[in-house]
Amino acid sequence: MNSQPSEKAEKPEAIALWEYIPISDFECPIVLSADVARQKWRMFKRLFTNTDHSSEQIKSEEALQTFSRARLDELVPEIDWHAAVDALDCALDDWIQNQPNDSPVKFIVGHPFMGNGEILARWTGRHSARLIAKPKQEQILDNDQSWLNHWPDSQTCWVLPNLDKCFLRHAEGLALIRRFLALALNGDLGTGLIGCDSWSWAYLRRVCFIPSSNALTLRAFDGERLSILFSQLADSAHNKQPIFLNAKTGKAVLPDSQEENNGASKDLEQLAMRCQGNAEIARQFWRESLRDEPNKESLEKSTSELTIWVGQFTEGAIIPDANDENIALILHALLIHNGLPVSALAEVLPFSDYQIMDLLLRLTSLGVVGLHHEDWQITPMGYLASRQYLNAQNFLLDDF
Amino acid sequence: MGKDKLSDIFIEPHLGNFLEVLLIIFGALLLIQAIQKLFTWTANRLHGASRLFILAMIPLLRLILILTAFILIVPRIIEPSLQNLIPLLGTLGIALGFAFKDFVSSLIAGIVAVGERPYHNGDWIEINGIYGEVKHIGMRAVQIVTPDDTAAYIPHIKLWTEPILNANNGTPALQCVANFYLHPDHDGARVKQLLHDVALTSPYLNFEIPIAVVVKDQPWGTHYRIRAYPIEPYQQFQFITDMTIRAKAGLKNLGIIFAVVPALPKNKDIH
Repeated sequence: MNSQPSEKAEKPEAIALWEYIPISDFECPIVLSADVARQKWRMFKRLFTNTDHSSEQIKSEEALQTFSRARLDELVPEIDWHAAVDALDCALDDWIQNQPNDSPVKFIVGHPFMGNGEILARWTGRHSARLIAKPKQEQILDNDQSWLNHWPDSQTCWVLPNLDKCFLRHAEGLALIRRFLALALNGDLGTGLIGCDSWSWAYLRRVCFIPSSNALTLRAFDGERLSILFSQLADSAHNKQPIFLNAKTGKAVLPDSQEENNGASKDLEQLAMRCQGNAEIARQFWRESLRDEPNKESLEKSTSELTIWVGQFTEGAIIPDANDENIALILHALLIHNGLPVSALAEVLPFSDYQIMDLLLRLTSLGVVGLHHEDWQITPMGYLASRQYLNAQNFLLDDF
Repeated sequence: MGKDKLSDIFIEPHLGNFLEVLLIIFGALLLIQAIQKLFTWTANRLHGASRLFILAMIPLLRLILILTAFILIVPRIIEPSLQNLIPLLGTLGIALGFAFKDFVSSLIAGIVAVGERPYHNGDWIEINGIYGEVKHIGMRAVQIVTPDDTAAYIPHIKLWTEPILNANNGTPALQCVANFYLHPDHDGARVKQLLHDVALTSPYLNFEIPIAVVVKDQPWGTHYRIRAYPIEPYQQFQFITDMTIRAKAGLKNLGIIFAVVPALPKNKDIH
């Protein structure tokens, strides 16, 4: 009869883990209706109670313990963006060779936390291009043209890794970026690469004309790609990859080896859907879910095969008060600007410094925002809750 | 003879029927209260179109419940034949028509309001100079809460005689206008761009609907109006306040002078 799609009769082709695609081709991993129903049910329950029931442990997890931070860093180290730089190189190869007059600049739209700035900085080093520093806040508000006047000569390819830091959502904070974009798109600044966060991209496209045909973004990480990524990360610290088993069902979550590609487990497919194909957010949830049997660590280290249990994925941070407009405003401002210091938040929000600090501290205690250098930013574990919160209140969202 | 016929209309009273009627009335009232509380509570936890939809369901469901209760009660009081209903409803109509003319008119207008929907729960309306959000559409009156948090109860009878101004008409889109009165000697294009950017950078802006800046010269100066839409109708006052404060700061930075009209005595006081 008909062939069964689940049966892997033919060996599938190796999939590219990192791939840059035109932004119009971006697709989030498909959401199963059962998963959507489960999510809606959780949201509905939250209407009636402000408590989080996600911490209820399933039976088999009761006997397990979390890993130390150092051990987690071994099992799930940070993503090395080297392969993403290779993928960007590949995607820009034609453009670099031909340098067409009709598209003097390319936009690289980054997903939150996906190292867009770092990828572009590495690409700059690889191609001996000129890295352009962001303007200062005063330059943005004063529409200081000296930032544009000191542009490198048009023979050199330049890279501006963070367009999101070149404007402020302020009546006087848009003139500089408008002038820059007009010059750049007209080719007056030569050939260049512009990096931008997805939230800033969504806002800027409503503020000034930016052709989306010149924009590339990373392909979403589906369950299969996550499976390969997590296997690679685990492999990097071990001679033999540990076995990752679902704590509830005992089934393997990752394939035993990278060569053995049996597709993604249902757990990883669901994780990919929940994280909307964002590998870094998925990595954070993955880290949070790993469990160990008590008093087994020393024993396991001496044996050749490690077994690691994967518990239920957590909800991430939860924002309990569903109707606090001020929280929505501050979350949106942080996302639109990819993080801001308090002084800049006071420029873009109708609150005093004191109110802003009060809100930030509340959100910090919930694990939704954190201070990174001088900028307040949404945390990876708080991102999904923040996006859902803003979506419920009809705020402008990014395209991913 | 006539007396005998009138008494024949009614079913012979007995305790069972009486208890059933009471139970139906009590049940309908209980359900109406429950729907009003539950739907309002749920709607207040939602935003945008879904909130307005749930609020708009309340008067419709209440009308359905009342009609259902009426249909259930009638056969328990009278024999529901055409000969019986016509004289009874006729007598009732004449009695109510004289005694409670305005009350009945309001009740009928209430039914029209549910069907015609000139206002829905959650709409921002103005009737007779009273502006506020529709909080409850009752059988006789509509309750609106003004921006000063004062509840106003306006009978539906106003539907027949007064214009109803509905600012958002069952949708989340409510236009806000921020006014600026400037000295005529200035660069109009620059001011227009600034005011446009003020709206564009407001955290309350709904991006789905375009912003408009309207300029009109007056004998005393130039009148600018920003027309834009907030994300939610209830944000209208914060939105206008935010635009006004930031526009004033921006205009001041540009060195624009605001128009000042000297206070003049009224015409009748001049002579």
